[in-house]
Amino acid sequence: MPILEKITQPLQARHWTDSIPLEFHYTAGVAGESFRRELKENGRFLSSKCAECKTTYIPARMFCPSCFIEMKETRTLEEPGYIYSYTTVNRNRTGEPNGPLTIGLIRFEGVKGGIVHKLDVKEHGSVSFGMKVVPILKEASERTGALTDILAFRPA
Amino acid sequence: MWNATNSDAVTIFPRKSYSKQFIADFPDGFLPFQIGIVGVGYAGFDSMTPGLSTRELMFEAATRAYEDAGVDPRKDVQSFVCCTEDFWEGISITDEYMPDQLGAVLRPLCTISSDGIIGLATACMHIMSGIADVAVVESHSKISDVVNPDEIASFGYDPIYTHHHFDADPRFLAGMEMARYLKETGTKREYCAQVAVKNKKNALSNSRGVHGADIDKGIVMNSQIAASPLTELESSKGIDASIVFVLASAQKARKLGDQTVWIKGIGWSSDTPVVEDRDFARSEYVEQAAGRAYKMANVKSPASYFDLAEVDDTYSYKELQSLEAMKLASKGKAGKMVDTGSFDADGRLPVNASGGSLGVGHLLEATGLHRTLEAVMQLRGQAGRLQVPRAKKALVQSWRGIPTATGAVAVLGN
Repeated sequence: MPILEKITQPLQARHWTDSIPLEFHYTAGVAGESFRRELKENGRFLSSKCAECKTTYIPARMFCPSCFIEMKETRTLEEPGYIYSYTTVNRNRTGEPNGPLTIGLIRFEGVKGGIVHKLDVKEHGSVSFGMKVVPILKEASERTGALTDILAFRPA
Repeated sequence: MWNATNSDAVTIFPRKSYSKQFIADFPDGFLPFQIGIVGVGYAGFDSMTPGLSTRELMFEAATRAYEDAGVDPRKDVQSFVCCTEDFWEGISITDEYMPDQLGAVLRPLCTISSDGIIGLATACMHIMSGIADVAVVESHSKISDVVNPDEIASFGYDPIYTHHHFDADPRFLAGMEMARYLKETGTKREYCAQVAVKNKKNALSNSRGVHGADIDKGIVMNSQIAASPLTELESSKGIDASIVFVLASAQKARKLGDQTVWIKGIGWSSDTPVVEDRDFARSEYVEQAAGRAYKMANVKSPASYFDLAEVDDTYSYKELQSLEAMKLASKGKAGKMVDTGSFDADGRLPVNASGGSLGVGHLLEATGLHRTLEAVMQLRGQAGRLQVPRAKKALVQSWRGIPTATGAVAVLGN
């Protein structure tokens, strides 16, 4: 064995515990700022359209990942979204019981991308693929432009 | 004494020895190449390893690998590659902490924050380019030291658009992928459970199989919901281990012994980090990675080419998605093939005969090296009770786990 003397008793296996405190300012950027402003002021979602491949993306972004060019055209999405997929979890991210919480990826017809958010449904069985949904928004005065402005999505 | 002007790259790439027709059979400029796996060592493979520090675990694995290869890291190795990430290590700029326990102090070393198979690819490039004729690749998991692994995984989600507006088990993405995969392919729910049954059963024959079990589909499907429809028994659990590989150029490998396993093709690919953009029903990044590896190795009919495959099974449905992405099963058919035993240890193509991540355990960025380790043992004929008879060609594939969309594939042969 490469290590000749090893710990043989559990009590000898010592450790200490510490944590790494991390704080960041997550910059929304130019396109992110436009998306947030539209959500805050008008309660709507802003998308970007690529002039080359004609793909529309939500959330709005500055460059097309397929064509690698800047996207300048934006439009707000007026129609309701639909559920592309969904799941129910029973724990939060620290592993504590928290739920059941149903989460879905909401997409929009003809648009690439979407929004992952909570679904306001009483039972998992009442959700279905393709179900039309709309956001439940905070009052305009309380909105900040973050996705927390949306409390959840509910059936349209 | 190795030096840069006497590169083995010339030997690896003897263009003149190939006929024009032979080269023409390899499209897109890929030429056949062979990098030898001349040594492998590992330590750990347990749910916790409190008796060793991370660096001691690496030291044990490295010592065994160098012994296996018959090389001295202080003299014979020109490149060391580690695959780690700071957040899993609990230390910033963790790459600076890698040299000592690998014998790599004051030697060329780099760390890449990606899966071990991409580390193997990096080492292959160093050898192909003539920077090294012997290169070492290490990766490890000391997940038992991480107090809040789910929280670290959650911080992998986009901080502005995906992370902050709900507090959920990070496997929500796996649940959504699985649901969409089942819907679009028409795969029966119970076929995913059979993946867990198969792999956990296989792991009972594996000395590294921490999570081996003999259970049936009912127990799997009735276990606690992780992220519906995914259950806890379909979700691999983290374990500790360090794995070290020694790679060599063709010329050097022939000098180092007679149990060399050859890397004949390798490929990797990353889809967008925007999870909202992705096709949940398929793994496009694995399709691409496999396509590149197959081209390099001149694999024309993957479904009938390999003797065994070690593929991603971080979650049960991922094995099915991966098999379809790599054309080992046609779209939507992998589940039925698992259920009818085609991929059993004694089936037409043994898939995860080792037990995979569901049966052995998940090893963070070392997961790809684990799959490669199991395949190398098979191709050497040293797999013991797991041994697949007459194993000559193996496929290994990894995925970096949620929320990533990076996959890597290698074609191995003996």
